[in-house]
Amino acid sequence: MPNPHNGETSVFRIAGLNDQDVWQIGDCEVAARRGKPLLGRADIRALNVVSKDLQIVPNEPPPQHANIVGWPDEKSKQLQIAVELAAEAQFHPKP
Amino acid sequence: MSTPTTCTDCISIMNFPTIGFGADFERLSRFYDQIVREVKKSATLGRQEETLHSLYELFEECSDEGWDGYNALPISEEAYLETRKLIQSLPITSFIPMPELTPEPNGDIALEWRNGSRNIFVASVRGRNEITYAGLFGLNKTHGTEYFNDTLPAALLENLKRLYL
Repeated sequence: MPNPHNGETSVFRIAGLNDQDVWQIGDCEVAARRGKPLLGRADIRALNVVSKDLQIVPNEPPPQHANIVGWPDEKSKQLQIAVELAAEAQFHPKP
Repeated sequence: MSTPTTCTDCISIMNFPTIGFGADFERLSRFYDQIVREVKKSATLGRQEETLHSLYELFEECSDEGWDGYNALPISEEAYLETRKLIQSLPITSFIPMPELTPEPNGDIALEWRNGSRNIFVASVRGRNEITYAGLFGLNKTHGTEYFNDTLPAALLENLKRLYL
């Protein structure tokens, strides 16, 4: 779902990265900031995001960081898109 | 002449009507709470207590701004209480499980039901007597907003039935 302050959703691009590098990003950029252990991650193809009329805009630093933008204003439509993306995502539990 | 008819709004016994006053109403309300506490000890309703406990923990963890490590809005007490009421208004039946709870960055609380990879229904609560929902049922989709006070909106119940029946 979009951040209420700027309407963006923070993501990390992982194409070309090995599994260890991907988990490293999660540990440093997500778990450390929350002060909680990482339990898993959800991977989604950029094509699935773009097909919902959203855009992926690179936004570094940190490395590999990007924002999903272009969410509709109406909350129920945002939720609908989020549900569809969730259905298309692949969940990976932390090893 | 009168005839009995079913109350189509009365799909949950978990919420005692809030309209009433006086000593008799107070006594009846306390007696009702006692009955509901006993009913909740069943296996089906025991899960409701677990979910309500998880909701409280979620509220405790996400009631400060920036709970996500960035700038997420806090979960308000109104959102917590309204979500609690929504959970308590769910039908007492084994075919609709308790939802998974997720805090949203805008301070809402999402309740998610999932029955397969492309059968998902989510209801989002903010604490303003309004529930925003979205569902994916295979290739079919739905989304909308419903007023919520004491009883589960018919649209939500129908979508939950659609998910599980």
